[in-house]
Amino acid sequence: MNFSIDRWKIIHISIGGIIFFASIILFGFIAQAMLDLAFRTLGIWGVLAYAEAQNAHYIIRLGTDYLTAGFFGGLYIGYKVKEHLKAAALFPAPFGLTVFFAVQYFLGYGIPPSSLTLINLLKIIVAPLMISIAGSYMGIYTVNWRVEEKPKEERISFIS
Amino acid sequence: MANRSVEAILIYKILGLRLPLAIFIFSLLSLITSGTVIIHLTLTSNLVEDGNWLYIATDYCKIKFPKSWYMDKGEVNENGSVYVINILSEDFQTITHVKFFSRKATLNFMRENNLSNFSSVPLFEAQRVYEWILRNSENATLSYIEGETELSTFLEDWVKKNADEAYYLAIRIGNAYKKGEFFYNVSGLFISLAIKQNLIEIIYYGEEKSWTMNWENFRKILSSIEITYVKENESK
Repeated sequence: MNFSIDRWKIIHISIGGIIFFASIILFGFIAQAMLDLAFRTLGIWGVLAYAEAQNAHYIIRLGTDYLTAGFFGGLYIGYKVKEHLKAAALFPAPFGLTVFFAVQYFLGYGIPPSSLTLINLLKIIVAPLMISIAGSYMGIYTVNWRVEEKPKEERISFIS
Repeated sequence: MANRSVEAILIYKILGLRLPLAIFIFSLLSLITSGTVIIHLTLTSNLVEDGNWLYIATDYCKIKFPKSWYMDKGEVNENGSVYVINILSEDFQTITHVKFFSRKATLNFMRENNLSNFSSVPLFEAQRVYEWILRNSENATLSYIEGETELSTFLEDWVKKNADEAYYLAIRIGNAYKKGEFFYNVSGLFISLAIKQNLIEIIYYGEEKSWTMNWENFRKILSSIEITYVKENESK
């Protein structure tokens, strides 16, 4: 894959990563607030005691936080970068996630070493990364998708 | 020409949306829908009583609790393993806290806190809570709730069914914390049980009004507890 590195590409990809990071914070906050409201309104807080419901909650958050954040990061890069889209889509999610984890760590919400099991690494790092990259691809190609416009139909009228 | 255009639109667009955008929306909706369905199925398969309570079998006990209450559970490893269940009332003002100590954790807990027998555990915990509250509210006052025959009869019946020995203590802390311009009181019930020399603590604690209001629910939770496992050493 021939992916030439120029300064502007790096700047745009970095901005895409920052947009991704900001989107995770924003959509994460909105999703958590909406889910809290739903659980409170329906009076079903207790269901979160079950591992199945916790996994379901996690699946929802994968979509609302990571897929959406990846998509918005990808949209920006899609507008700014017009070549080597496949390669460009790989970068904003790792960049944004690294910033996200670093901020979490410095705020005291880092992953404790005792929790570093394979399943936790999959849940905390691998799955969000994959979903975010998929979101970035969708964002980038949404902007750069080639659509053939339907030609305007000529209306022929026999009534003058 | 017209046919080719129609074909191109079918390939590249779904419902008037560009294909990647359509895939994004579809993926997002799929994740949300599947999560919601799993939550719904989990909920309906665990409802008991009149549909307002949930039943859960944890590693150490079977328990029922109101579906609108929040439950958290997990094992902590500090000088022996302690399995903790926290159940928060709907208003998040009252907590039911259940702790299962392993044999090693029991010995360490007793030694570190200079406790000679299980009967002194409720008083120790009550004083610990009071001292913690005093740090933030100097005017806090501690009083013991005694002579409530209904409470003692209920607990004695419960203990007979569940443990070798059990002790309890009910307290009230006046002016425990200030919120806005008002001071609030808190109440607490501290129970310690011993099963095969393993300590089990049950603490029901919270803001006084909420504590009283949720008392019946706590009684039902306590009545539903069926202790299924007591860890005698560190390896299961």
